Order: sequence, then structure tokens, then C-alpha cells
Amino acid sequence: MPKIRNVIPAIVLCLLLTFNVSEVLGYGYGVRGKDTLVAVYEDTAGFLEKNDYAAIQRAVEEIEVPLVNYHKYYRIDLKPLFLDAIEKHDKKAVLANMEKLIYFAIREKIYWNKKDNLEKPIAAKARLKVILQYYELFKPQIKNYDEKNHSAFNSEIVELLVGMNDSLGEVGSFGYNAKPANPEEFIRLSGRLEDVLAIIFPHFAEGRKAVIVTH
Amino acid sequence: MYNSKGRKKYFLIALLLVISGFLLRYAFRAKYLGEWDCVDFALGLREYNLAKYQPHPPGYPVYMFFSRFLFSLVKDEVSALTLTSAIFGALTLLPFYYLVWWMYGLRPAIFASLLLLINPLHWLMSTKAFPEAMAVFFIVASGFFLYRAAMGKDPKAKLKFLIGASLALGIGLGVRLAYFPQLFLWAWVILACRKQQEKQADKNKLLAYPFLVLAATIFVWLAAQVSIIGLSAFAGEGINFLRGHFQNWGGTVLTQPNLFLRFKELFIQDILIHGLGAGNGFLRLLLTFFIALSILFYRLREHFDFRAKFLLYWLAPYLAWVILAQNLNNPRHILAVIPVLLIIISRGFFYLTDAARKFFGQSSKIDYALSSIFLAALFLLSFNLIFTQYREKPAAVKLVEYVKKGFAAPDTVIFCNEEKRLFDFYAPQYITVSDGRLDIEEGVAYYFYGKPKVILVTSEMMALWQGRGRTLKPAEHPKLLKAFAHNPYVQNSNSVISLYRLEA
Repeated sequence: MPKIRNVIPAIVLCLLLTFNVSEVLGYGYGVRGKDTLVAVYEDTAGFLEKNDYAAIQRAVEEIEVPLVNYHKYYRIDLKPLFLDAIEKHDKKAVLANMEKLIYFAIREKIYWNKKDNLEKPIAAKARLKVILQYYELFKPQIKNYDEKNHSAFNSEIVELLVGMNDSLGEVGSFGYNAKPANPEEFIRLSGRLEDVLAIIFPHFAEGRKAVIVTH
Repeated sequence: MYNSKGRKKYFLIALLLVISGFLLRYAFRAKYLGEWDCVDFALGLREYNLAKYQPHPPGYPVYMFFSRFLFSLVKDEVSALTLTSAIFGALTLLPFYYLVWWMYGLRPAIFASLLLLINPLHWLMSTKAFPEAMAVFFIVASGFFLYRAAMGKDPKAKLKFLIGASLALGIGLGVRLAYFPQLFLWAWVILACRKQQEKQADKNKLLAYPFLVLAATIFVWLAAQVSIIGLSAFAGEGINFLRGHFQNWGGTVLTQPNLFLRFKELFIQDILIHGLGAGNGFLRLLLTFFIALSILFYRLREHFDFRAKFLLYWLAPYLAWVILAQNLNNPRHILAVIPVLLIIISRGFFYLTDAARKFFGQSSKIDYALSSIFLAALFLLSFNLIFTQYREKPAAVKLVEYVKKGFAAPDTVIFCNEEKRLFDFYAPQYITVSDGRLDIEEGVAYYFYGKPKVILVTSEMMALWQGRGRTLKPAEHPKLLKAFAHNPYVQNSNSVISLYRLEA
């Protein structure tokens, strides 16, 4: 009978060699897939608590792509508004501009899904996933609004998001359980989502009215 | 031998080594961050946040604390981090010199210290923005104290040195937790010291005090870290990181299970080539000759006494840890064992020169000639690497600069792997996608704001896609824009990166 201590290394080696080997997906936290706007929004909230406006300035520099592109799409330039709010150390204005930017992003994701007529299911799902992340940012304020005004916008938004997800259809597995996309339903539900958000956040009114132009 | 006059002389030699070590390291500090991990440290100087990998878990609290202090003085992330490395890289020579002195005497101590002073890996790591140089200082310091404790006769002196070793080890683990295998040596020496005692009270003291000091030291940096980020966040990020490290990108035995290849990579690529300077080419061949003969003579002539066992208990647990759980593509992971290997090589080299003197005659200066050739070859090789690093940008930095020069951020999305982190630091305005699971269409929809005019893909991302069996569609037309490279002996990872442009 071999001593247990002599057998342990062999057992460990066998376990290591037979262990289910995972694949490499990418390095570090980059694979977690947090949207830059979400990250910057959360960071900014933290920096505002610490009154660290230099850090907010750096965070705003990181979001050049949405600031420049949304300026083109909506013809509303948020960058000078951010810089002005940072210079004046105006917490409310910084936060309001950040919220407007997120609202622009929601409308932009919806716009591309409509423009594609939901014909690119993978991309459409990816956009909706990001919209869900944006909704999570607004959720506390939406619930707060509901409590104050005895409304039920949060439940309505959740239903709208579920409906939007259903309207994207299903690719199915080898055709089984496949469901076609319903662009009309998507347009109806997403339009309502944009309206509801503009009711809860009155400073979205200008962004809601703006017609997106991408060419 | 060790009177006050001698003590001063030996200290002056040590001081000279430290000063020259600092000057050689300070003068050639890296000007750029070239890898993912060092960007983590640089970003962590402004905002210490494990959830954002600033830095990545376990958080390197002592390293970050010290570098942050320097950052408040020099106001530049790269300078602060590399200055920390230079300071502690040079300081390592002090405990190292005294350790070898106590083990084998003055001449081997000076020779081994000179080997460490100009060792390619130690010199390089003492100029880069990584915590290894600082951690190795504390590991060598704990090694010195442990050896003195083991050799001491008086239980009070033993206790004093064991407390010193525990303190150094505790701080060292706060610099780099992955150096925990040193605990084996620590435990072995404590047990050996206890065995030498007759009184139970002495035995108890030799166990309890070092343990308490180690626990208290660890508690200080751990508590400080937890107080910053919270216990649940700390634990959560730690578990996430461990899972990622072992199951995804950590380069451990679980994701690279070919043990033969891992042994080959560890001993040939990491230790011999990167760690000691062996390999092909005239200088490297010359060094291979000296290293091989020194190790051979050590093996043939050295008795397996306490000193040899001490070095073995230092070396073996850490090498076992590296082979199982570290990324062998990063030779920096073996830096902790370089001092031990240099002690072995310098000891073996003295056996070699003794044999040469017997052969050529005692009056011959063959030992000086051989030592000079060995040191000169090592210096030339290491200096060439250091100077290359000093004047050449890492491939990933060249890539970032090329993209910045040629493509506007609002029009561009970049699919890349580790290079993402370099964009985060040098060009955070660019949208990068580093998730190998995502399709191009999906990645753009998920991460970009609008429609990009330019889609760039690096060869590192292509490799990830290939690993997942994904090939580009013919319509996507990858067009090679440029390839970027740096010397792989300076930085092993991402030494060649190609950049492709796809049809948007």
C-alpha cells in the first residue's frame, strides 16, 4: 500500500491534466464589456461626491466619440455645456448633461435598429443590451419620480423593454423556435420609451424633439 | 573578521554597490508603459479602484502606496512607478550582498552582487513600471534575516532575525502577493530554529513572535486596502480575478496544460535566456558557457549542507508555483529566484576558477581573467538591452501613436487585445473592443456611438478570433496597414503587432 503523501502529487497532476480547459476570451477586465458611457457616468457620480472636477474633466475627455458624433446627429453640442458646468463647479449641470448624453445614446441605439429594420439580429440584440445598461443608471431616479408622483413609469419601462426584446425576434436553434422580428412593434414601443423618459426627465425635451441625421 | 573596521569596509562596498546600482537603473528608466499590467498601476496612482483594474487584484497595496507618494512629488505616473523600481532594485543589492557574505564570504559576495547589479532581467525590471523589483527587495531581505536566524546561536538573536524576516516578508507580500511561496522557507527556518532549542519557552517564542509579526504586517496593508474599497467588493473582485486568471487569460497550467512545454518555457526561455542571459549569439554563448560550467561545478563540488538546503527551499516552492499558476510568457515572474540562482552560479564559478588555477598554476591570474570576461560579457549584453528599451518605444505604443496620427477617434473603432490598455492610457478617447467573443457587427453595435468609418483590427485580436474558430468574411477585406515591433528580449509580450483595416 503506497503512502498517501507519495500518491498526492500524481493525483494533483492527473486532476490538472484532465481539468476542463477554458478558452481565452481576451485579457483582463476588458472582456467584462462595460459600456464607456456607463463607466464614465458612474465615475462622474463618484467624482462629484468628492468634488474632484479635474477627474471629471479627464472623464469628459474620454467620451470624445459620443460627444462629437452626437453633436453631428442631434445638432446639440454637449461639450461646451460640460466644460462650463465643470468650470463653475455646478454639480447639477454636470449630472444633467451626463444624463442627456445617455438619453442621446439610447435614442441613437434605437435609431440604428430602426434604420436596419431589425435585419441584423446580433447587432440589434447588442444595442438593446446597452439600452438596458443605460436604463439601470436611470432606474433610481425613475423610481423616485414614481414615488413622488404616484405614477408607475418604472413598471411601464420594464414592460416596454421586454416588449422591445420580443420584437427583435429569435434566431432559434438551427431554425427551431425561430421568431421573425417585428419592426413596427419595435418602433411603437421604442417611441413610447423615448417619450416616457422625456416626461420623467424634463431636460430631455430638446433631445427628444431633435431629429437624428446621420448623413 | 567582522570587527568595527571590517564592518565599515564591508558596508562601504555595499554602499558603493547600491549607489552604482541606483545610477545604472535611474539613468535608463523606461519612458513608456508597454504592457497591460503596468497601465493598471499607472491608472491606479490617480484612482485606486480594483473594480476598474486600477490596479488589478490583489491590489499591490504597499507598491501603490509608495509609488503614490512618489507620484505626489514627481507628478508623472511613469516616472513615479519606474523610480520606485529603481530605488528598490538598487537597494536589493544591500541584503543580497550581506546574505552572500554570511554564506560564503567577501569575494563571492562581491562577485554575486556584481552579477545581480548587471543581471539583464533584474536591471530591466528595475527600470520598468512593475512591482517586481520592490517585491524582490523584501524577499531578499527576508532571506537574509532568515539565514542569519538559522545561523545564530543565541535564541534572542535568532528571535530578532526571525522578527526582521517576518516583517520583511509581510511587507513583501503587500507588494506582490504572488511571492507567497517564500512562506515555505520562512516556516522551514522557524522549525529548524525551534529544533535547535532545548527550552520549551524559547521554542514557543520562536514560533509565536514571528507568526504574530507576519500576521500583523499583513493585517496592516490588508485592512488599509479593505477600508478603501470595502470587504465585499475586495472579495468579489478577488474571486473574479482568480477565476479569470486560472480559467481564461492567466496563462496557468489549466489553460496551457502541456507540462513539457511549460517546463521548457520556464527553464529555457524564462530562466536561462531572459533571466540569466544565455542563448544564441556570441555574448549569449559565452555566458551560456560560464553559467553551465558554474552550475556543473556547484553540483559536483558543493555539499548538500544547510546552505544548499536553504537555497533549495527558497527556489523549489516558487518554481513550482510559477510552473503551475503563472504566465510563463512573462519572464518577470521568475525575478524572485534570480538572486538564488546568482548565488549558486557565483559559488559554482569560484569552484571553476579554483579548478582553473590548479590547472594553470596558482600564480596565474586566470581567475581574474575569467571573472572579467564573465562580467564584461554580461554587462555588454544587459546594457544593450537596457539601452534598446531606453530609446525604443514598445510595439503597442507605436501602434497607438500610429492610430492617433492617422485616424480620428469619432470615426474609428479598434478591435484589439492587450493593446486596449495602452489606448486607455495614451489615447482614452478611442473606442476599443477587446472581447474576443464579439463579432465585428456586434462589437460596433455594442461599444460604438454611431457608425464608424474605420474599423481597425490588430493581429492579437485576429489570434483570439482564430482561437475561437472565427474567420473574417470575404466582404470584410482585411488590409494590412503596418506592423510594429520591439526587441522581444526587452519585453517578451506583444513584440510584433500588425494592424489591419476592415471595410466599415
